This record gives sequence, C-alpha cells and structure tokens, in this order.
Amino acid sequence: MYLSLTYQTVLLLLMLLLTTFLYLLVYTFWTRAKKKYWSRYKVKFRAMFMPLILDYIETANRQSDADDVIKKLTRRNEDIVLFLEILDEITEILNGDDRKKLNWLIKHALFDRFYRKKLYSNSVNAQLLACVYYSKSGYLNRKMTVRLISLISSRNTKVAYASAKVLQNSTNEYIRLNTLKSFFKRPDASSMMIGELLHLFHQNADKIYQMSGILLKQLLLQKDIPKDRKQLVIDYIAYHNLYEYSLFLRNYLQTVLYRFENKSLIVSLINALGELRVKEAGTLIRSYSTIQNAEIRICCVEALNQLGGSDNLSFITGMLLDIEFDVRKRIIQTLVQDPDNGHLLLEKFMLTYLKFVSKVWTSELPPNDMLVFINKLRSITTGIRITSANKALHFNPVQK
Amino acid sequence: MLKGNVVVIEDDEITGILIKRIFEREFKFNFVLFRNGLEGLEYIQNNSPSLIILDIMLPGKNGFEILKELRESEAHKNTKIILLSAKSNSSDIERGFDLSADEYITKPFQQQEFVVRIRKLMRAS
Repeated sequence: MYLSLTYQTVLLLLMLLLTTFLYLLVYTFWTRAKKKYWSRYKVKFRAMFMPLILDYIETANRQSDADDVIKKLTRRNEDIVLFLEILDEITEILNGDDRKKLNWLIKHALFDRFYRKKLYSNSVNAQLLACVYYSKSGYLNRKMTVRLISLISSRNTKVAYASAKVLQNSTNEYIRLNTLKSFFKRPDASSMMIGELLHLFHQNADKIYQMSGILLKQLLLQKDIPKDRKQLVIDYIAYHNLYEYSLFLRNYLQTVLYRFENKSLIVSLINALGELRVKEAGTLIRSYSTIQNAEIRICCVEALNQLGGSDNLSFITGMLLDIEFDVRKRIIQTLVQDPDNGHLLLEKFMLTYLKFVSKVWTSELPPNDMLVFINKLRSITTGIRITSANKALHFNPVQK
Repeated sequence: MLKGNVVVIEDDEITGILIKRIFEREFKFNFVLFRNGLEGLEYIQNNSPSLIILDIMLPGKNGFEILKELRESEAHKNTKIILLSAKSNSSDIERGFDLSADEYITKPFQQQEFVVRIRKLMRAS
C-alpha cells in the first residue's frame, strides 16, 4: 500500500511535469508563429501602403484627398496602428508642404474616432496609445481636455505624463500651466519628464511668449511646488539662456533664505545668474560667498568668474585664504585659466604674501598661530604651481 | 533633365525609398542604394558616381569617415557629395563642411527643396 502511494505520487508529478513541458512547447511555437506572421504581415502592409502614401504626398491638393488613402485601410486595430507607424516615420523625414499633407492623413476622422474610444477606456495601454496619438496630431477639444486633466492624477506615471504632454498642445495657457503645476507635484515624476514638459510648455508659447514668461515665474513663486522641481525650472532657464528672467532670478534669490533644505535651490540660482551673466547680481552673489557651505561658495566663485569684471575677480582672489581646500582649489583653477586679469591677480597675491612671509622670518618671536596661516599659504602656492603645470602640459603635450 | 550615376548610402528604409522616387521622378540618374557604409564605400571606390548622398549614422562606417576617405583619394576629390542627416547641430554641419561636403541637408526636408539643391549642385559642376 505504501509503495503504491509513492508510485502514484511520482507518476502524478511526472504527468504534471510532462503537461507543463508540453504546454510550454506549444506556447513557444505558437508565439514564434504569431511573431513570424505579424512580421510578414507588417512587411506586406508596408509594401502596400508606403507607395500609396508617397503617391498621395506627391498628388494631394486638398484635405479630402486623404479619404482615398484611408478608404483602402481596414478598420482593424493592428492596421490602424501600423498605418500610423508609417506616417510617423515619414513625418520624421519630410517637412513643409509634404508634412502638411501628412497631417491631413494623421488628423483624419477615422483615427480620431479610434483613439478617442481608447482615451475613455480604462485600460492603461489604450490610454497611453491615445495620448501618443493626440500629442502627435495636436488635436484637442474641450471634452478631451477634461478627460486628459483627470488622467494627470492617474496612478500610472506614464499615463499622467503622456496626458500632460498632450495638454501642452492646448491653446489655453492656463490649462498648460495648471497641467505643469499638477504634474510637478507628483512625487513619481522624473526630472527628464519635467524637463521635457517644460520644454514643450516654453516651445509652444512663441505667440504668447511674454505670457509664458510670466507663467514660468508663477511656477517658481508657487509655494506648494517642491523645491527640486523649481530647481529644474531654474536650470531650464539657464540652459536655454532665457535672459528675460535675469532680474527676476536675482530678486528671487534675495527672497530665498539660507537653510540647509534650500541649499540646492540657492546653488541652482547662483549658477543660473552666472550663466546668464547677470552683472546686477554680483553684490548679492558676493554676499552668498560668506555662507559656511563649500558647495555654495564654489558656485559663487564660478558665477563671479562668469560675471567677470575687476571687482568680482579681486573678490575671488580675496577668497583664496578660504578655509576649505576645495574652494581654494576652484579659485586657483579659475584664475589660472584667465591669462589676463587672473594671472595678474595671482601674481599680486603671491607677492603680497611673500613679503609677509619674509617679515615672519625676520621677526624674532613670530606668533604661534602664524604656523597655520603659513601652511595655508604653502598649500595655495603649491596649488598654483600644480594647476599652472597642468595647464602648461595641456597646451604642450609633447613635454609629457 | 540631369543625367549621371548616383550612389545613396542610407540605412533608413523610408528615406531610401523616398530618395529613389525623387530621383526617378526628377532626374535621369542611375540609382544605387546601400544600407551599409562599408559596402557603399567599396562600390564607390570601384565605380565613379557623379553624385553621392551619404547618411551620417550608418552601420559599418559612418558618413563622416566615408567622406574623409573619399576626399583623400584622388579619384573622388571632386565628386559631388551630399550629407543627409537628422543631425542638425551646428557642430555636425561644420564638421561636414570641414570635410569638404558639397551640401548638408538636414532631415526633415521638403522634397521640392531637396530637388532644387541637387539641381543647383549638379549644374554648378
């Protein structure tokens, strides 16, 4: 009885194993066959529709000409997706009038009906497909806007992001701004997503440029927007050289109090002021260079160097005696790279302190704390020597 | 109608088809298309096309390398070469002209403009 039970169990397990194996085998062959079928179908489909579309581009004169091509398309989901894929690829190659004709096809009522259903469905994939279509076609009406606004608070980050992208096609600036605000508040939004949305927001605002400027400022002043998101807005402004924000950024920096949690925001603001060459911000940046935080002081050095001018450079040289090694290093690197004023200031600094050192040597009883000071001077002169040697090697690589 | 041989090295299927159609419609050129940089270069070295259209991002050998190699050879020093690419950075365009490309066309382009630029280039030769 005992043996027979073991035998039965083994048999059962073997059968289970065999069934699983057979199932996996069939599944593998079935998926392969399916994939093969679809790739063949895709090739056939492209071979059929590509010349049709290209002929259409050459001959079409009005929007209704698009109907002739669309008539040849079945209403199958796969065909619609494949057709739009081809259109998408051609759009990346052709421009001008050709693109206009392609847009007649893309914006055809058939696709609008097809994707609108998807937009209102509960499937995440369908919603995503619809958003991708509408962000390309640029079509947006009031009813869809309401739906897309509701999708920004979707649990799925991709859906929220895709709908925010579509809403950047809106002609209503406030809808676009509120989309950004809502999306910025999402903790799952990545910096890449925010960067792209900002770009779309600003890029599409050519006609109402001043207005978009005001709206970006509003984003920075909004209290409930996280600081890291504000930082991205500032980085965006600096990266795209949006000079019209120069004075606003300076005034904004004045309002940001120095606290540890504000450090990154302050660093971004100082970097942006430097990159935008906001001369009026020189005094303010100099005042930030006294803050006991090496990261802030380093970015102050860089920003003051970018602003240029004898006042700022002399100030940087004065900071050479800074307590932090990294700050001193950055100052030396900055001044060594400036063959005119930088070299003169370094020379002046060295001469002043050499005189001081010789005084210490000649005095009979130098104070004890002088040793720390002299060590720092030695570190600075070594830094200057190393940086200069590196620069010389960089320009004359043969001497290596 | 302009006549001659044109070699196009372009890995993108649709761009290749599109250029072929343009040449069939507008010019009387013998058209040869390659998808791979190395194969295209080998063909050019054994033949003497009157016009070469090169994409930049190519499998095998990129457009800049092909252009450099062709300009260094005596046989293709004066062959008309057009770079056609989606790379529209000023640094890429500058590099193309530094390597003595005769034209740099960026994608997306307008078919009519493409035709005009080729016609102008071929007439100048």
